[in-house]
Amino acid sequence: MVFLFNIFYQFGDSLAFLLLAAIGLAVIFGMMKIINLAHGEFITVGAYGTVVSGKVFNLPLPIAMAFGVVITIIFGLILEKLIIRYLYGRPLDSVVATWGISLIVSQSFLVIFGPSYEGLQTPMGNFQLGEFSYSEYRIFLIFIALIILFLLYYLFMKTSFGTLARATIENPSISSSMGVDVKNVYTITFAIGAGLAGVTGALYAPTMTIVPSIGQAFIVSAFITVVTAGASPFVGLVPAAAFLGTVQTSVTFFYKSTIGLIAILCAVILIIRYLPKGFSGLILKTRSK
Amino acid sequence: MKKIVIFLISSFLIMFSSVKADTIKLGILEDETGNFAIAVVPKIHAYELAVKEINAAGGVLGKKLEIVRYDTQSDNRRFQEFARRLIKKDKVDVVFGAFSSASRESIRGIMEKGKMLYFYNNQYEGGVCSKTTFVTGAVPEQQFSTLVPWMMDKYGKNVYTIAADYNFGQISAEWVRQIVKENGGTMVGEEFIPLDVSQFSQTIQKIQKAKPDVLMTLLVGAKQASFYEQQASAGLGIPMGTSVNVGQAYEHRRFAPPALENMYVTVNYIEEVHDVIKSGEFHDKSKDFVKRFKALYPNEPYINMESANAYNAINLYVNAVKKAGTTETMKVVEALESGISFDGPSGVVTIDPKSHHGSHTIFLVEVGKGHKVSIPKVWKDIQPYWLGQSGCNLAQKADYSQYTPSNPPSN
Amino acid sequence: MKTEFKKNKLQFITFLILGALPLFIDSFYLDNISYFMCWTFISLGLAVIWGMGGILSFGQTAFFGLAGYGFSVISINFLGVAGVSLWSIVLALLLTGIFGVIVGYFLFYGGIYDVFIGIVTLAITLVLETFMQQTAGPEYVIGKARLNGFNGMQGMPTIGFEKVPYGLVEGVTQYYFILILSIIILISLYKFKNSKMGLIFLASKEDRERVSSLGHNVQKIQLIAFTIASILAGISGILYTNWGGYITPDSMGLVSAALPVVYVAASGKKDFFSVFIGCIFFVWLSQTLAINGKQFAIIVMGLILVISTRFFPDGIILMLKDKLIKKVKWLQF
Repeated sequence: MVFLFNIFYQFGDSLAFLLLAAIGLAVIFGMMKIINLAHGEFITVGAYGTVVSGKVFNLPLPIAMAFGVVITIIFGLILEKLIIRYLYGRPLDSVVATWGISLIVSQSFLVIFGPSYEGLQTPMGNFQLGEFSYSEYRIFLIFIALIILFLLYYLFMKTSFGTLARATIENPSISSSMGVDVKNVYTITFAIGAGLAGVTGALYAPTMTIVPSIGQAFIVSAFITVVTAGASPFVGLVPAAAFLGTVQTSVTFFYKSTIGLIAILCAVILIIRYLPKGFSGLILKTRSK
Repeated sequence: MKKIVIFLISSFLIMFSSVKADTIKLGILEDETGNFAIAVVPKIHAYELAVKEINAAGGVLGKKLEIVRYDTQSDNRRFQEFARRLIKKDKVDVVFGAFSSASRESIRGIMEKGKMLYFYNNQYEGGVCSKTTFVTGAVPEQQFSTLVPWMMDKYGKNVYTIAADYNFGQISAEWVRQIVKENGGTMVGEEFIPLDVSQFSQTIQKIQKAKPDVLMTLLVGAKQASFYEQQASAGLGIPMGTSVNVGQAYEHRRFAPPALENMYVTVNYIEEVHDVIKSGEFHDKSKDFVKRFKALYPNEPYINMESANAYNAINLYVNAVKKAGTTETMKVVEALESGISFDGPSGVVTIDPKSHHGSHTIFLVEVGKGHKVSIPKVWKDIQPYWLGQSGCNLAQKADYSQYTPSNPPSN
Repeated sequence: MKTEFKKNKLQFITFLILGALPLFIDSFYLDNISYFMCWTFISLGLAVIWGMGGILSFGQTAFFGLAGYGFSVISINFLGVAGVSLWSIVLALLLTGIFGVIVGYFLFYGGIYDVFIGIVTLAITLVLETFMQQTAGPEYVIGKARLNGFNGMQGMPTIGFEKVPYGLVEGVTQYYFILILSIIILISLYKFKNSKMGLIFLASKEDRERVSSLGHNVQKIQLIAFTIASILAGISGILYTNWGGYITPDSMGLVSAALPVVYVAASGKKDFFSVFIGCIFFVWLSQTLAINGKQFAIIVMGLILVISTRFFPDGIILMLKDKLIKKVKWLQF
C-alpha cells in the first residue's frame, strides 16, 4: 500500500512538474508556433510577482499568487503589442527576439531585486505513511495541474472563443475575411499563454529558490513535453507528460538522475522520429478509427 | 551611414598604449553578474577593501596597488577572454579570481603558460597542485575531516550523501566516503544529481528508505538549492552536513525557515562569528573586519567566507612581495613558499609550501530553529595536508595538475 | 550577375583590410580578432542549412563540442608525434562529419522537419552536455586523456604554446590561418550556393514536395548540406579549443546552443558575408559590453537583438550592407 502510494507520489510529482512547465508554452508554441525562448522568464515573472507581493504587501499566499499571475498577463500583453505581433508567420525569427527578451528580463530582475530574493515557506504541512513522509502541497500540485489542464482543454476545444482562436491561428486570412478581429484573437491567446506560465511560476514559487534564473529550470522540460504532446497540445499534454514522467522516474529509480535526464531527452528524439504528430496525433488517429 | 562605418572600424582598431605606470597591477576576474553573483559580489568588495587599506598605509615597495577588474558574467568564455586580456594587454603582476572550479580550470592553463601568478580564493574540491597557483579557500580535508566525524559522533554512523553530479560533488563525495570509512561508519546511500535538477521528491523518498543518521548535502547552484525547501516541506528531518551552503550564498538568511534547520556546515569564516563567539581572538578579529567592511560597503547583505579568503589573498600576496622585494613572478612564488602567513579575519592563514594551499581556522556552524546560527566547535590551524602527504611538493618539483583521492600524484 | 559583383567588391575590400590588420595592431588585439573569427564557421554552417534550406538546427553545438573533445582526445594521446595537431584536426573533423551524417540521416530520412529538427538537435546537444558533465571520475578516460567532466579538458597541444611539432603558432600565424580558412570556406560556400545542388536546396526551402516531385533527391541534398554544416561547426569547435587550450561540456549547453542561432538571425541568415561579419561583430559587441557595460551589458545585448528582429527582419548586418552599397557609389562598380 505504501509502496503503491510512493509510486503515485513520485510519478504524480514528476507529471505535475512537466505539465505545469508546459502549459503556457502549449499555447504560445504549441498553438501559435512562436518558439518562445522567454518562456522561462514568464515563469520568473509569475514567481517574483507572487513572492514580492507576498512579502511587500504581506498578502496571504493565494492572493499573492493571483497577483503574480495578473502581473504576468500584463507583461505578456505589453510584449505582444510591442514585439511579438511582428513575429507571427516568422516562427524561426521569434527565436532571436524571445532570446533577447529572456536576457533582458532575467538580467533586469538581477539588477532590481539582487541575485536572490527571500523565499516563501511551502504552504500546508506534511503527513506520515509508514517510514515515509510527504509534502501535502506537492500532492495539491498534482491535482491543480490536472484541473488547470482540463480547464484549458475546455477553453480551447469546447468554447466558442476556443474555436475562434484555433480557426484564426490555423488560417488568419480566411478568419479575417469572415470578420474576425485577428489581431485581438492573437493578443488574447498570447496573454493566456503568458498567464499560464505565470500560474506555473506562482505555484512553484514557494517550493524553490527565488533567483532571477528560476524560470530556466522549466524551459527544457516545457519544450520536450509540448513537442511530445504534438500538434494538438491540449489533447496530447497529459499522455505526453505521463509518458515522459514514467521514463524519468523509472530510469532514475533504477540508475541515477543523470541517466534519467538523458533518457527523457532520448525518448523525445525517438518520439519525434516515430510519432511525428506526437501523442495527440496518436489519440486523434485511434479515435477517428 | 559613413559615421557608423567609421565608428565600427575605429572601434576595432582602437589601440591603447600601455604606459608602464608606477603601480602594482592586480588583475581580478570575478562574476559580478550571472549565476554566481550572489556569492561573488562580497568577494569583489573584499578585494577592494584590502587594496584601499594597503594603499592608505603607503602601498608596497613604494608603489600603490591598482585593480584591473573585469566582470566574467559567470561564463567560462569570458574568463578565457579576460585572462588573456589581463596578461597581454593590461600586463598585470598577479591575477586573483574565479568562483566555480570550471572557471578556474578554464584560466589556469592560460595563467601557467603566461607564467602569471594566480590566486584562487574559494572553497573547492581540492587537489590543484600547480607551481604558479595559490589557493586561499578551504579544501575537503579541512572541511570534512572536521565535520563528518563530529556529526557521526553526535548522530550516528549511517551516512547518506547527495551530491551534484560533476567534479566538485563527485570528489567531495569521495572524501566523505573515505572519512566515513576511516571512522567506522557506513555509507547507506549515495546519489548524484545533475545541476539542472530542481525537483527532489524522488530523492527525498530514497533517503527516507535508507534511514541514514546523517545526510551530507553537497548540492550546488540555485536549482539544486531548492532541495532544502522541499525536504523541509516533506518533513524529512534528518541532520544535514555540507561544505557549501551558508558560508557562500548565505541560504540561512535568504530561505524561509525551516528549510535549513538542523544543518551543520564547516566554514573558515562567516560574518556571524563575532555575534556567536562573545569574546576572545575570533570575536575581536571578526568584529574589526566587519566594521571596516561595512564602513566601505554599508549595504553589503552578507560577508561570506570567500570574502575573507579574498581579503587574505591580497594581503598574503603583499606580504610575499615585501619579502621578495620585487613583483617578479618566480621570486614572489619563492617568497610565498617560504611559509608566508597573514593574520586575517579568522586568525592566521599560512601558505603550505608543498601544496600552495592555506591553513585555516575551521568553524562548525549549526543552523538551528528559525535559522539561528550557533558555533558549537572551533578547530584551530587545520592544515591542507592531503596533497603534501600524497606527493605534491611544489617547493621541490614544479607541477601543473589537479589530483583527486582516486588519482593521486605519482611519486 | 551584377549584384554578385557588387557583393564581391565589398568583400574584397573587407578581406584586404583584414589581411593588412596585423601591420597596424598589436598581438593582443590580433588574438582577440582570431577569437572572434573562431565563431564564424559554426554560424556559416547554420547559414547554409537555415538561410538556404530553411532547416533550423538548434544543436550545432553538439558538433562543435564533439570536434573539440575529439581533437583533444586524439591529440593528447599522440602528443609528441610529428604534426599531431594538424592530423588530429583532420581526424576530429572526420569524426564530426560521420556523426553529422548519422544525425542528418536520422532527421531527413526519418521524415522530421520544421521546428522538430530544432528540438531533436537541441536534445542531442543537451544529452551530450549532461553526459559529459558527469565524466569527472577516473573511469572516464580514453587512452591517456581524462574527460574530466564539468571542469573541462586541458593539456591538448594548442596554438601558440611551445613544444608542438608542426603546430600552429600564436599571433600572426594563427590569425592568417583562420583568415585564409574563412576565405576558402566563403568561396566554397558561394560555389555550393550557385551549383545545381545548391539551387535545388534553395528551392526545397520553398516547397520540399514539389522539388521532390520534379525528380530531385531532396533528402540526399539536405543530408549533404547538413553534413557540411556539422563539419563547419566542428571547425569552430577545434579552433576554439585550440585558442583557449580548453573545452568544457558548457560549450554544448542551452546558452551556447542559442548563440549561433542568434548571431545568424541577427546578422542576416541569407547572406554568407553578412553572417561572417555579423558574427565577428556580435561576439565583439558582447565582449565589449561585458567590459564597459557592467551589469547592464546583458540588457543592452538583449535590446539590440529584440530591436534588430523587430525592425530589420532580414538581419541588421545585411540591411547595413545593402545600404552601404547603395550609398557609396564606387562600391557599385
